[in-house]
Order: sequence, then C-alpha cells, then structure tokens
Amino acid sequence: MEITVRSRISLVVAVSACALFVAGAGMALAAKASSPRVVKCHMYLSAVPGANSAQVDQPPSGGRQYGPAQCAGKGLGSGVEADKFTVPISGDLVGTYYQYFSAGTIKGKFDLVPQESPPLSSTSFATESFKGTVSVTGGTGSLKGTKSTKAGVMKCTSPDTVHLTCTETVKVTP
Amino acid sequence: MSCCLAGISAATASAAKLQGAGSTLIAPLEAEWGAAWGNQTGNSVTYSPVGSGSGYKDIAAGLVDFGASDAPLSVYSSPACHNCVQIPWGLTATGVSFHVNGLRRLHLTGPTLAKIYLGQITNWNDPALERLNGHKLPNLPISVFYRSDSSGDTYAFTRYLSDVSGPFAKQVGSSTTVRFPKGTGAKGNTDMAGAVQGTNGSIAYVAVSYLINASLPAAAIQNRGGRYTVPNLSAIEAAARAFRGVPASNQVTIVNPSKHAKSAYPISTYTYAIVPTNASQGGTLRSFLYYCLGGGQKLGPRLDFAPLPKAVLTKARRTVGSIQ
Repeated sequence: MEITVRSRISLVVAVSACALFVAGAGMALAAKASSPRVVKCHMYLSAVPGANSAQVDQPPSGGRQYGPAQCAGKGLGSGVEADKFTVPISGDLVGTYYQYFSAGTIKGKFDLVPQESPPLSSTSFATESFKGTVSVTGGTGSLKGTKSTKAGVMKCTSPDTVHLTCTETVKVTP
Repeated sequence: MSCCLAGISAATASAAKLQGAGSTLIAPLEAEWGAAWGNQTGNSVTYSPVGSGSGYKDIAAGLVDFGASDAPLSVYSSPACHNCVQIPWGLTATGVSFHVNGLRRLHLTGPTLAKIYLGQITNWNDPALERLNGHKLPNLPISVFYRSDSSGDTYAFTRYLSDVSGPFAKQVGSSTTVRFPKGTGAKGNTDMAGAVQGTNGSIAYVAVSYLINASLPAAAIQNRGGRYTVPNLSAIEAAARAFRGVPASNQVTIVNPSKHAKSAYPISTYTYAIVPTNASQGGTLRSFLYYCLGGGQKLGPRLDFAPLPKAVLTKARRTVGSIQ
C-alpha cells in the first residue's frame, strides 16, 4: 500500500516535472517567436480621383491613395500599399491601410500631423510635410498575426498635396 | 467663302463683353478665368483691379457688370447696392510679409502683430520678437506699411487683429479702411509688395499671390491651436474646413478659426463677386460665374488660391442661378 502511494507520488512528481519542462520550453519558444523586429518601409503614394470625378482636388479632403511600398524584413520586400484617408478639422491625415506582399498582407492605421511648412515661395505653396504614428493591427498569409508592439513613426512629404513620399518605422511581432 | 465670312462676322457681333472692377487680390485669378472663359465662349472680360471698396462703389453705381470684394457686402453701408448678392468665388489668404536682411523665417503671434501695428513694438530686437523666434534679431526700426485704399486685405487683417487683441479692436477696429496709429500707406497689393521689397526693416500685409510673385517671405502666424502656419494651400483649406455652414447671405468669414483647426492659417479669407440679380447681361454673367465656380476652380492652386469647399460651391452656384 505504502509502495503504491510512493509510486503514485513519484509518478505525479515526474509528470509535473515533465509538464513544467514542456511548459518552460514552450514559453521559451514562444518568447523567441514573438521577439519584436523592426520593419522599415518606403512608400510612394498618390491620391486617386473619387467616383464620378476625373481628377483629384488639391488638397484632397479624403479618399484613397495607392502606390508601391518597399519594406525591409522577412516576408515583406516589394509590395503595394492601398489606403483610405480623411482629413478632419484638425488637418491631420488619418486613415487605414493595407500592404500587399507576395507572402501575405498586413493592415494598420496611421495619423499624420502636418508640420510647419518651409518658407513660402512659388514652388512651395502646395508643399506639405507630415509626421505621425503608424500601427500594424493584423496580417494574412505568412504575415498572419503580425501586430505592432506600439505605435511606430511615419513621415511624409508632398510637393503638391496629391503625391506623398513616406517612410515608416515600426516594431512588430512575430 | 462669303458664307464663312458672314458666320465669323455674326459670331463677332454676338460676342459679349463683361466689365468688372474691385479686389486686387483676386485679379491674377480673374485674369486667368477671363482668358479661359473667353477662349471657350468667344466673349471677353475687362477687369480693373482698383481695390475692393472701389469695386463695390462701381457695382453699386451700375458702372460695371460685377464688382469683386474680399470684404463681405455687410461691411459697406453706402451707396446702397440695389438687388445685389455676393457670391464667394475665391479662397486665399492675407500674408504678413517682412524684409529684414538675412531673415527668412519669422514667427509671430496675433497679439504681438497687433502691438507692432499699434506702435507698441517698434524695433526688430524687441524681447517679445526675439523670444518668439528663439534667436537674436537686429537692432533695426520696424517700418510698418498698410493699405491706403479701401481694401479687403485690410478687412481680413484688421478683423483678425481685432479678434486676437482687445486693445487693437478698441483703438483701430476692423473695416476695409481704418486709421492705423503708425505706419505708411501704400495703394494696392502691388505697391505693398514693392514697399516691403524696397525697405529693410519693413512689415506689411499682402495677398498671398502677390507675395509669392514678388518672392517675399511670409511670417508663420500662431493659430488658436497653438501652431505656427504659413499661408499655403493646405493651411488655407484647413481654415475653410473649420466653418461648415453657409448662411443665406453667402457671407463666410474664416479668420481666426477654432483651436480644433490646428493646421489652419488664421488670416484666410473668401473673396466675393458682387452682382445685381437684375443684371443687364444676366445670361452672359451667369455663364462667366458658372465657369469661375466650375472649371475655373482648378486654376486656383497654380495661382496660390485654394479651391472652394463643396458646400460653399453648391450655395454659390445656386445664387448664380438667381441672376436674371
């Protein structure tokens, strides 16, 4: 009887130890898998005319932008960005975006704040620059589950309020 | 051949001529509108940039087909302009230009600008100016320039300063013609720009298109949201977006918008066509105004004007439709 109890105790200890080992290993793997990585992208975006319109109003007060996105990082590379934006009373450029890569897509949101313009001149009347935040909220394909750990930084410049050249830097997992 | 000549002759005979007068601010855009509309229709427009106040007097007296004013009709009390309506057709701003050798950037707040025009800040090295700009400024007297003619730019500028400075509102007030306690008068935007160019130490308020055309700098003015903005396309449009409703009178004043309009330039302004609803060339006038409010708006950004917001455009077109 005593032997049986001891055996059971040993078995429980052994199973527990094994479970702890497995859990520990799993946690270690999970920690390794979710360690954040920095993603840097360059985008060249153009606002497109809305429905029933032949051209984009300057400056656009909302709409859609499309253009190539070049992102450094595993599963990324050359892709295309499509976004939908509005300009609320604050003058910020606020929107949501998708980036399409051959391995999958990532989606997110941005909020760009206009910066003080360069001195006014015949070439700078329509120029503008922005600095703000960008977040990754999800992904598909091999990028499924991709999320930013916190808001990253996004900067854009435009010579005419219609075409934007942007860079973004954001930490994501996995 | 004779039939073709007859056709040309008939077309020439039927070509209409419109005459307008007023705002110097709108003149560069009006010239483009007139030429483009003329090419489309064979008609022509002659415009005299005599200043908003004179433009109002001319249309009130029936001397022209349309007047142009950067100040709304409510500013003018006499002579009466019978059956006149105002139609917003341009959106731009009054810039604050300066000439201090070597200085390209200047930050100003509204109250500081008011003190300059009240004669309370008289030198560029005033501690208030140096504090705003974060560096030393030269020991140089400030030469203040203002418009000596009746001007919509003066209206927008003084309306803004009256909004941000109680002492300015009390001592000077806002109108197309005011009595500034200090400074030198110059007639029209061209002379104002020339005065700045030719005077080291000067400051003047100048319509943006003239300022850019003369390669003059514009001060960044702090708006109610606390940001410093220059009168560029986005900042002017942001000021217009802060005001959503269009009253029955079409009077839309957009100086000093709310603090929520963080990107807005605070001395932005609409400019108006003033026309009688019982015009002698009603059909031709309607055609011209519809062009200005349609395809003509696309010409704006190239000439330092922002396009009118849709709500304003819709209301403006409806008013054009009321011209007989």
